[in-house]
Amino acid sequence: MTESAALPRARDLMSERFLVVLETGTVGDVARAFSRGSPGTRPGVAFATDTQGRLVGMLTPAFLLRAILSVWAPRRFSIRTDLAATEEDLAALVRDRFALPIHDIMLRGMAEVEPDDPLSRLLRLSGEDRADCFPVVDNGTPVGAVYVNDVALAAAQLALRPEDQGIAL
Amino acid sequence: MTGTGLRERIGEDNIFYADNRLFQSTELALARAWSLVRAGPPVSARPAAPGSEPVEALTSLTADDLVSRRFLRFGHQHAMREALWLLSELLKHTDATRPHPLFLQDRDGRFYGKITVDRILRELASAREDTEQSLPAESGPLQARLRSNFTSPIRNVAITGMPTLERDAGLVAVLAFFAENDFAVAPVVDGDGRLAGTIDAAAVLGALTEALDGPSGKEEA
Repeated sequence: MTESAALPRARDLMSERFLVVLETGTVGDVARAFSRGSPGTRPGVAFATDTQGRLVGMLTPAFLLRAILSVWAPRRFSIRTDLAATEEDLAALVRDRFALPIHDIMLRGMAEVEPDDPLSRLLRLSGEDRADCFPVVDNGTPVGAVYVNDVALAAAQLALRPEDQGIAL
Repeated sequence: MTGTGLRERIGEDNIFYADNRLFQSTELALARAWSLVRAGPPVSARPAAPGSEPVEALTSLTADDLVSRRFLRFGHQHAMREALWLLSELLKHTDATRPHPLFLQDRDGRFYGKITVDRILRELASAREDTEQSLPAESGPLQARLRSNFTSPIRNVAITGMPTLERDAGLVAVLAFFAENDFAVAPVVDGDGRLAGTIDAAAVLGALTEALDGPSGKEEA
Protein backbone atom coordinates (compact mmCIF):
# COMPACT_ATOMS: atom_id res chain seq x y z
CA MET A 1 0.00 0.00 0.00
CA THR A 2 1.37 3.41 -0.92
CA GLU A 3 1.42 6.22 1.56
CA SER A 4 -1.28 8.09 -0.34
CA ALA A 5 -3.70 5.16 -0.37
CA ALA A 6 -6.80 5.39 1.78
CA LEU A 7 -6.97 3.22 4.84
CA PRO A 8 -9.17 0.13 4.58
CA ARG A 9 -12.51 0.48 6.30
CA ALA A 10 -14.63 -1.96 8.22
CA ARG A 11 -16.73 -2.60 5.12
CA ASP A 12 -13.56 -3.69 3.28
CA LEU A 13 -12.53 -6.15 5.98
CA MET A 14 -15.85 -7.47 7.21
CA SER A 15 -16.85 -11.07 6.75
CA GLU A 16 -20.24 -12.58 6.09
CA ARG A 17 -19.32 -15.62 8.18
CA PHE A 18 -21.43 -14.86 11.21
CA LEU A 19 -24.70 -16.09 12.66
CA VAL A 20 -27.66 -13.99 13.65
CA VAL A 21 -29.75 -15.55 16.41
CA LEU A 22 -32.67 -14.34 18.44
CA GLU A 23 -31.72 -13.66 22.03
CA THR A 24 -34.60 -15.91 23.07
CA GLY A 25 -33.10 -18.90 21.22
CA THR A 26 -31.31 -21.57 23.20
CA VAL A 27 -27.65 -22.08 23.92
CA GLY A 28 -27.93 -25.51 22.29
CA ASP A 29 -29.19 -23.96 19.07
CA VAL A 30 -26.10 -21.76 18.84
CA ALA A 31 -23.73 -24.58 19.83
CA ARG A 32 -25.17 -26.76 17.07
CA ALA A 33 -25.02 -23.93 14.53
CA PHE A 34 -21.34 -23.33 15.36
CA SER A 35 -20.64 -27.02 14.76
CA ARG A 36 -22.57 -27.41 11.51
CA GLY A 37 -20.74 -27.77 8.22
CA SER A 38 -17.05 -28.30 7.55
CA PRO A 39 -14.50 -26.60 9.82
CA GLY A 40 -13.38 -24.13 7.15
CA THR A 41 -16.87 -22.81 6.58
CA ARG A 42 -18.18 -22.44 10.13
CA PRO A 43 -18.92 -18.98 11.47
CA GLY A 44 -16.71 -17.71 14.26
CA VAL A 45 -19.30 -15.54 15.96
CA ALA A 46 -23.04 -15.31 16.59
CA PHE A 47 -24.78 -11.97 16.98
CA ALA A 48 -27.87 -12.03 19.15
CA THR A 49 -30.68 -9.68 18.24
CA ASP A 50 -34.01 -8.67 19.66
CA THR A 51 -37.19 -9.24 17.72
CA GLN A 52 -36.59 -5.95 15.89
CA GLY A 53 -33.28 -7.23 14.55
CA ARG A 54 -31.20 -4.92 16.74
CA LEU A 55 -27.91 -6.21 18.07
CA VAL A 56 -28.08 -6.97 21.80
CA GLY A 57 -25.28 -9.45 22.40
CA MET A 58 -22.57 -11.66 21.00
CA LEU A 59 -21.21 -15.20 21.39
CA THR A 60 -18.06 -16.87 20.13
CA PRO A 61 -17.43 -20.63 20.43
CA ALA A 62 -14.87 -20.04 23.18
CA PHE A 63 -17.18 -17.72 25.12
CA LEU A 64 -20.05 -20.17 24.72
CA LEU A 65 -17.96 -23.11 25.93
CA ARG A 66 -16.82 -21.16 28.96
CA ALA A 67 -20.39 -20.14 29.74
CA ILE A 68 -21.58 -23.73 29.48
CA LEU A 69 -18.84 -24.94 31.81
CA SER A 70 -19.03 -22.13 34.31
CA VAL A 71 -21.62 -23.81 36.52
CA TRP A 72 -19.83 -27.10 36.45
CA ALA A 73 -16.33 -25.76 37.02
CA PRO A 74 -16.61 -24.95 40.73
CA ARG A 75 -17.39 -28.62 41.37
CA ARG A 76 -14.60 -29.93 39.20
CA PHE A 77 -12.43 -31.28 41.98
CA SER A 78 -15.09 -33.52 43.48
CA ILE A 79 -16.14 -34.61 40.01
CA ARG A 80 -12.60 -35.44 38.99
CA THR A 81 -12.18 -37.91 41.81
CA ASP A 82 -15.35 -39.78 40.91
CA LEU A 83 -15.45 -40.70 37.24
CA ALA A 84 -18.87 -42.35 37.45
CA ALA A 85 -20.30 -39.12 38.76
CA THR A 86 -18.45 -37.21 36.06
CA GLU A 87 -20.29 -38.97 33.25
CA GLU A 88 -23.68 -38.31 34.77
CA ASP A 89 -22.95 -34.79 35.94
CA LEU A 90 -21.27 -33.70 32.77
CA ALA A 91 -23.98 -34.85 30.40
CA ALA A 92 -26.72 -33.49 32.65
CA LEU A 93 -24.96 -30.18 33.03
CA VAL A 94 -24.42 -29.69 29.31
CA ARG A 95 -28.03 -30.64 28.55
CA ASP A 96 -29.26 -28.16 31.16
CA ARG A 97 -27.06 -25.41 29.84
CA PHE A 98 -28.07 -26.12 26.22
CA ALA A 99 -31.68 -25.42 27.23
CA LEU A 100 -30.91 -21.94 28.59
CA PRO A 101 -31.95 -18.88 26.58
CA ILE A 102 -29.11 -17.08 24.88
CA HIS A 103 -29.78 -13.81 26.69
CA ASP A 104 -28.87 -15.49 29.99
CA ILE A 105 -25.25 -16.00 29.01
CA MET A 106 -24.41 -13.79 26.01
CA LEU A 107 -21.70 -11.16 26.04
CA ARG A 108 -23.19 -7.68 26.30
CA GLY A 109 -21.71 -4.24 25.88
CA MET A 110 -19.16 -5.30 23.28
CA ALA A 111 -17.50 -2.74 21.06
CA GLU A 112 -19.32 -2.17 17.79
CA VAL A 113 -18.06 -0.68 14.56
CA GLU A 114 -19.74 0.98 11.64
CA PRO A 115 -19.05 0.15 7.99
CA ASP A 116 -17.07 3.35 7.41
CA ASP A 117 -14.83 3.02 10.45
CA PRO A 118 -11.18 3.10 9.33
CA LEU A 119 -8.42 0.63 10.07
CA SER A 120 -7.00 3.00 12.68
CA ARG A 121 -10.13 2.62 14.82
CA LEU A 122 -10.20 -1.14 14.28
CA LEU A 123 -6.57 -1.33 15.38
CA ARG A 124 -7.27 0.67 18.51
CA LEU A 125 -10.26 -1.45 19.43
CA SER A 126 -8.38 -4.68 18.73
CA GLY A 127 -5.67 -3.67 21.16
CA GLU A 128 -8.08 -2.51 23.85
CA ASP A 129 -10.96 -4.92 23.80
CA ARG A 130 -9.40 -8.41 23.80
CA ALA A 131 -12.25 -9.48 21.52
CA ASP A 132 -11.78 -11.92 18.65
CA CYS A 133 -14.35 -10.14 16.55
CA PHE A 134 -16.38 -6.94 16.28
CA PRO A 135 -19.91 -6.63 14.97
CA VAL A 136 -20.40 -4.20 12.12
CA VAL A 137 -23.72 -2.52 12.65
CA ASP A 138 -25.81 -0.31 10.44
CA ASN A 139 -28.61 1.47 12.30
CA GLY A 140 -28.30 -1.05 15.09
CA THR A 141 -28.53 -4.10 12.83
CA PRO A 142 -25.55 -6.44 12.40
CA VAL A 143 -24.41 -6.42 8.78
CA GLY A 144 -20.95 -7.97 9.08
CA ALA A 145 -18.20 -9.24 11.35
CA VAL A 146 -14.67 -7.87 11.50
CA TYR A 147 -12.37 -10.54 12.88
CA VAL A 148 -9.27 -9.34 14.69
CA ASN A 149 -7.25 -11.62 12.45
CA ASP A 150 -8.42 -9.63 9.44
CA VAL A 151 -7.39 -6.43 11.20
CA ALA A 152 -3.95 -7.98 11.71
CA LEU A 153 -3.74 -8.97 8.07
CA ALA A 154 -4.67 -5.43 6.99
CA ALA A 155 -2.07 -4.02 9.39
CA ALA A 156 0.55 -6.36 7.92
CA GLN A 157 -0.32 -5.33 4.39
CA LEU A 158 0.02 -1.69 5.39
CA ALA A 159 3.20 -1.98 7.42
CA LEU A 160 5.32 -4.74 5.90
CA ARG A 161 7.59 -4.01 2.97
CA PRO A 162 9.12 -6.67 0.71
CA GLU A 163 12.38 -6.53 2.65
CA ASP A 164 10.50 -7.30 5.87
CA GLN A 165 9.68 -10.87 4.87
CA GLY A 166 11.15 -13.70 6.89
CA ILE A 167 12.81 -14.34 10.18
CA ALA A 168 16.05 -12.72 11.29
CA LEU A 169 18.29 -14.86 13.46
CA MET B 1 18.03 -23.21 -0.91
CA THR B 2 15.03 -25.46 -0.59
CA GLY B 3 16.48 -27.55 -3.43
CA THR B 4 19.63 -28.43 -1.53
CA GLY B 5 18.02 -31.15 0.56
CA LEU B 6 18.60 -29.12 3.68
CA ARG B 7 15.01 -29.34 4.74
CA GLU B 8 15.22 -33.11 4.67
CA ARG B 9 18.49 -33.02 6.60
CA ILE B 10 16.95 -30.90 9.34
CA GLY B 11 14.22 -33.41 9.79
CA GLU B 12 12.41 -31.51 12.52
CA ASP B 13 8.88 -30.21 12.39
CA ASN B 14 10.08 -27.11 14.15
CA ILE B 15 11.16 -24.20 12.02
CA PHE B 16 12.89 -21.87 14.35
CA TYR B 17 14.56 -24.37 16.58
CA ALA B 18 15.97 -26.00 13.52
CA ASP B 19 17.02 -22.69 12.03
CA ASN B 20 18.59 -21.59 15.26
CA ARG B 21 20.81 -24.61 15.20
CA LEU B 22 21.88 -24.21 11.61
CA PHE B 23 21.66 -20.85 9.92
CA GLN B 24 19.38 -18.07 8.99
CA SER B 25 17.12 -18.83 6.09
CA THR B 26 14.15 -16.66 5.31
CA GLU B 27 13.18 -18.87 2.41
CA LEU B 28 13.43 -21.98 4.52
CA ALA B 29 11.46 -20.41 7.36
CA LEU B 30 8.70 -19.40 4.99
CA ALA B 31 8.63 -22.75 3.24
CA ARG B 32 8.48 -24.59 6.51
CA ALA B 33 5.87 -22.20 7.89
CA TRP B 34 3.69 -23.00 4.93
CA SER B 35 4.38 -26.71 5.19
CA LEU B 36 3.31 -26.67 8.81
CA VAL B 37 0.15 -24.75 8.08
CA ARG B 38 -0.63 -27.23 5.34
CA ALA B 39 0.31 -30.21 7.48
CA GLY B 40 -3.15 -31.65 7.16
CA PRO B 41 -6.67 -31.07 8.31
CA PRO B 42 -7.29 -30.53 11.98
CA VAL B 43 -8.16 -33.67 13.82
CA SER B 44 -11.79 -33.46 14.78
CA ALA B 45 -13.46 -35.27 17.61
CA ARG B 46 -13.35 -39.01 17.26
CA PRO B 47 -16.74 -40.24 16.03
CA ALA B 48 -18.68 -42.34 18.48
CA ALA B 49 -18.53 -46.06 17.96
CA PRO B 50 -21.71 -47.52 16.47
CA GLY B 51 -24.12 -48.40 19.21
CA SER B 52 -22.34 -46.44 21.90
CA GLU B 53 -24.36 -44.22 24.17
CA PRO B 54 -23.85 -40.46 23.73
CA VAL B 55 -22.62 -40.01 27.29
CA GLU B 56 -20.12 -42.81 26.78
CA ALA B 57 -18.90 -41.15 23.58
CA LEU B 58 -18.51 -37.90 25.47
CA THR B 59 -16.54 -39.15 28.43
CA SER B 60 -14.23 -41.40 26.43
CA LEU B 61 -12.75 -38.40 24.60
CA THR B 62 -9.19 -37.37 25.38
CA ALA B 63 -7.11 -34.35 24.46
CA ASP B 64 -5.51 -36.37 21.69
CA ASP B 65 -8.91 -36.85 20.02
CA LEU B 66 -9.42 -33.10 19.86
CA VAL B 67 -5.95 -31.89 19.07
CA SER B 68 -4.97 -30.05 15.91
CA ARG B 69 -1.44 -30.06 14.65
CA ARG B 70 -1.95 -27.01 12.45
CA PHE B 71 -0.05 -24.49 14.55
CA LEU B 72 3.16 -22.51 14.47
CA ARG B 73 5.85 -22.35 17.09
CA PHE B 74 7.90 -19.22 17.29
CA GLY B 75 11.15 -18.47 19.06
CA HIS B 76 10.67 -16.15 22.02
CA GLN B 77 13.70 -14.06 21.06
CA HIS B 78 12.12 -12.52 17.98
CA ALA B 79 10.69 -9.05 17.40
CA MET B 80 7.28 -7.65 16.49
CA ARG B 81 8.11 -7.33 12.79
CA GLU B 82 8.72 -11.07 12.56
CA ALA B 83 5.62 -11.87 14.57
CA LEU B 84 3.49 -9.73 12.27
CA TRP B 85 5.01 -11.28 9.18
CA LEU B 86 4.57 -14.83 10.42
CA LEU B 87 1.03 -14.17 11.60
CA SER B 88 0.13 -12.66 8.23
CA GLU B 89 1.51 -15.71 6.42
CA LEU B 90 -0.43 -17.99 8.74
CA LEU B 91 -3.66 -16.07 8.21
CA LYS B 92 -3.33 -16.30 4.43
CA HIS B 93 -3.60 -20.07 4.72
CA THR B 94 -5.91 -20.68 7.66
CA ASP B 95 -9.40 -19.85 8.80
CA ALA B 96 -9.28 -16.22 9.91
CA THR B 97 -12.53 -16.57 11.89
CA ARG B 98 -10.67 -18.70 14.46
CA PRO B 99 -8.25 -17.32 17.03
CA HIS B 100 -4.64 -18.05 16.13
CA PRO B 101 -2.25 -17.19 18.96
CA LEU B 102 1.43 -17.58 18.18
CA PHE B 103 2.84 -20.09 20.62
CA LEU B 104 6.38 -19.45 21.76
CA GLN B 105 9.23 -21.75 22.61
CA ASP B 106 12.59 -21.25 24.19
CA ARG B 107 15.91 -21.99 22.51
CA ASP B 108 15.66 -25.61 23.57
CA GLY B 109 12.30 -25.98 21.87
CA ARG B 110 10.32 -26.13 25.09
CA PHE B 111 6.98 -24.40 25.40
CA TYR B 112 7.43 -20.83 26.65
CA GLY B 113 4.08 -19.04 26.27
CA LYS B 114 2.10 -17.22 23.64
CA ILE B 115 1.41 -13.88 22.07
CA THR B 116 -2.11 -13.13 21.02
CA VAL B 117 -3.18 -11.09 18.03
CA ASP B 118 -4.64 -8.33 20.19
CA ARG B 119 -1.33 -7.99 22.03
CA ILE B 120 0.60 -7.82 18.77
CA LEU B 121 -1.71 -5.10 17.47
CA ARG B 122 -1.63 -3.16 20.73
CA GLU B 123 2.15 -3.17 20.79
CA LEU B 124 2.42 -2.18 17.13
CA ALA B 125 -0.07 0.65 17.58
CA SER B 126 1.49 2.00 20.74
CA ALA B 127 3.06 5.43 20.67
CA ARG B 128 6.38 6.42 22.09
CA GLU B 129 6.25 8.95 24.90
CA ASP B 130 7.44 11.84 22.76
CA THR B 131 4.92 11.35 19.97
CA GLU B 132 1.22 11.91 19.42
CA GLN B 133 -0.65 9.25 21.37
CA SER B 134 -3.73 8.83 19.18
CA LEU B 135 -3.49 6.55 16.18
CA PRO B 136 -3.01 8.35 12.85
CA ALA B 137 -6.01 8.14 10.54
CA GLU B 138 -3.94 8.37 7.35
CA SER B 139 -2.07 5.49 5.81
CA GLY B 140 1.40 7.02 5.70
CA PRO B 141 1.59 8.11 9.34
CA LEU B 142 -0.16 4.91 10.46
CA GLN B 143 2.33 2.82 8.54
CA ALA B 144 5.15 4.77 10.19
CA ARG B 145 3.60 4.22 13.64
CA LEU B 146 3.32 0.48 13.11
CA ARG B 147 6.84 0.23 11.75
CA SER B 148 8.24 2.25 14.65
CA ASN B 149 7.47 -0.71 16.91
CA PHE B 150 8.88 -3.41 14.63
CA THR B 151 11.97 -3.90 16.76
CA SER B 152 10.12 -4.34 20.07
CA PRO B 153 10.89 -7.79 21.49
CA ILE B 154 7.87 -10.08 21.50
CA ARG B 155 8.93 -11.23 24.95
CA ASN B 156 7.63 -7.88 26.24
CA VAL B 157 4.07 -8.81 25.37
CA ALA B 158 4.28 -12.58 25.77
CA ILE B 159 1.96 -14.39 28.13
CA THR B 160 4.13 -16.78 30.09
CA GLY B 161 3.58 -19.24 32.89
CA MET B 162 0.57 -20.57 31.04
CA PRO B 163 -1.14 -23.82 31.97
CA THR B 164 -0.89 -26.56 29.38
CA LEU B 165 -2.59 -29.86 28.65
CA GLU B 166 -0.91 -33.21 28.16
CA ARG B 167 -1.85 -35.36 25.21
CA ASP B 168 -3.42 -38.10 27.30
CA ALA B 169 -5.52 -35.69 29.36
CA GLY B 170 -9.11 -36.84 29.64
CA LEU B 171 -12.13 -34.79 28.71
CA VAL B 172 -12.65 -33.69 32.31
CA ALA B 173 -9.20 -32.11 32.33
CA VAL B 174 -9.81 -30.50 28.95
CA LEU B 175 -13.11 -29.01 30.10
CA ALA B 176 -11.59 -27.87 33.38
CA PHE B 177 -8.87 -26.13 31.38
CA PHE B 178 -11.37 -24.13 29.35
CA ALA B 179 -13.54 -23.44 32.39
CA GLU B 180 -10.62 -22.11 34.41
CA ASN B 181 -8.79 -20.21 31.68
CA ASP B 182 -10.08 -17.54 29.36
CA PHE B 183 -8.40 -19.15 26.35
CA ALA B 184 -9.82 -19.89 22.92
CA VAL B 185 -6.97 -22.28 22.15
CA ALA B 186 -5.27 -24.65 24.58
CA PRO B 187 -1.63 -25.68 24.13
CA VAL B 188 -0.93 -29.41 24.33
CA VAL B 189 2.63 -30.44 25.21
CA ASP B 190 4.51 -33.71 24.96
CA GLY B 191 6.54 -35.38 27.67
CA ASP B 192 9.56 -33.18 26.93
CA GLY B 193 7.57 -29.99 27.37
CA ARG B 194 7.45 -29.26 23.64
CA LEU B 195 4.29 -28.07 21.99
CA ALA B 196 2.61 -31.07 20.37
CA GLY B 197 -0.65 -29.51 19.23
CA THR B 198 -3.47 -27.21 20.11
CA ILE B 199 -7.11 -27.64 21.05
CA ASP B 200 -9.58 -25.07 19.81
CA ALA B 201 -12.54 -24.33 22.06
CA ALA B 202 -14.74 -24.68 18.97
CA ALA B 203 -13.58 -28.30 18.58
CA VAL B 204 -14.50 -29.02 22.19
CA LEU B 205 -17.89 -27.39 21.74
CA GLY B 206 -18.42 -29.47 18.60
CA ALA B 207 -17.48 -32.64 20.45
CA LEU B 208 -19.93 -31.88 23.24
CA THR B 209 -22.69 -31.19 20.75
CA GLU B 210 -21.97 -34.27 18.69
CA ALA B 211 -21.75 -36.51 21.70
CA LEU B 212 -25.02 -35.30 23.19
CA ASP B 213 -26.95 -35.37 19.93
CA GLY B 214 -25.47 -38.67 18.81
CA PRO B 215 -23.04 -39.46 16.00
CA SER B 216 -25.58 -38.59 13.32
CA GLY B 217 -25.67 -35.03 14.61
CA LYS B 218 -29.43 -35.15 15.00
CA GLU B 219 -30.83 -32.35 17.06
CA GLU B 220 -32.97 -33.12 20.01
CA ALA B 221 -36.66 -32.63 19.52
